[in-house]
Amino acid sequence: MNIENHERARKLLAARRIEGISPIEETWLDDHLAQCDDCSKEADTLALAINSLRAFSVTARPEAVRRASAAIRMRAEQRQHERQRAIPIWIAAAMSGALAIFTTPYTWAVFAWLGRMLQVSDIAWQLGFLMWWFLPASVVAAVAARQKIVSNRESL
Amino acid sequence: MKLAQALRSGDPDVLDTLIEKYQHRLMRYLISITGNRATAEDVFQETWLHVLERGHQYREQWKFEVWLFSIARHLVIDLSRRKKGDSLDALMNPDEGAGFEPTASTSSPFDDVLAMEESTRMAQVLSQIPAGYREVLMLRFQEDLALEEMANIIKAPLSTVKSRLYRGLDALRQQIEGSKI
Repeated sequence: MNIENHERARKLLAARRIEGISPIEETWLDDHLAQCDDCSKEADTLALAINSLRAFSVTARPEAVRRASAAIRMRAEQRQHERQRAIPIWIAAAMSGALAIFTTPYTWAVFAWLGRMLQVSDIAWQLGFLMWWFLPASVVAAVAARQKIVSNRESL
Repeated sequence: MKLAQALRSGDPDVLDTLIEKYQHRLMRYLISITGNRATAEDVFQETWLHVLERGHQYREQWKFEVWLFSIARHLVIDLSRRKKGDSLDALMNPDEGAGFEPTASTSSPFDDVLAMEESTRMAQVLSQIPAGYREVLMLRFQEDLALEEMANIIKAPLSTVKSRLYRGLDALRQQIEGSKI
């Protein structure tokens, strides 16, 4: 029997366990193992190695499981609390948004009137209106985004 | 209720059921990649907290254990990075901790001793194998995962998974031969 055959058998032994081999290869391998003591021993060692690995048992300790379960309950409570705390904020934000939309025409009229009173150009009071409209929301959005980035970094 | 929907709800009772079902498999996987029970237990807890926090990201078509192991692996890598330059291999340094710990069986005291001895020997064998190989060996032969599922967990091409398995199996065979289990 030549070296290539032993080498092929060795490769097929591992391949059979890892990705499977074709029926032709299976037949060839079985025939070879029946005739070759060395390869047959190798097959036995491989089987022993895999069986030992399968039989190897590691379990989670009950204390570790209890700790994880308690931590989950605590975090779930925190999340529930945060959600409840966020409800009035969302309601306030929705009301504030609705109010802003309904009062926009009046605010626009007030800015136009102020512009005329102070004798500034149209573009100046219109810019002022835009600033009044967008600046607070932009600041809040920037602060919220920063807080989100910080909290994401901490949770990683 | 479907699992994805249950996870989205963030119900701790659902998490308890999942912990009960997957506790040993997750711990086994974590110990296989960290080589250290203390570290594995810390990551075990963190993994479940991540499942709670990111339950909404889980999709029904995914196998839960594959998603779970991916989270666990990500956390281990993160931990090893935080330990300033420690690789996955460095983390499983036998000098650093107890390494693999065998479990006590629930059969007779004599069987307990035998099982303990055998597990201890196997733990010693496995501790001699690099973490990267040990990980794929455990996923394949203990968890019975498909090669594609393993590739998903370790975020590597299928060819890498296969080559690690071949090398790992060879290393395991040599160690077994040496230790005569």
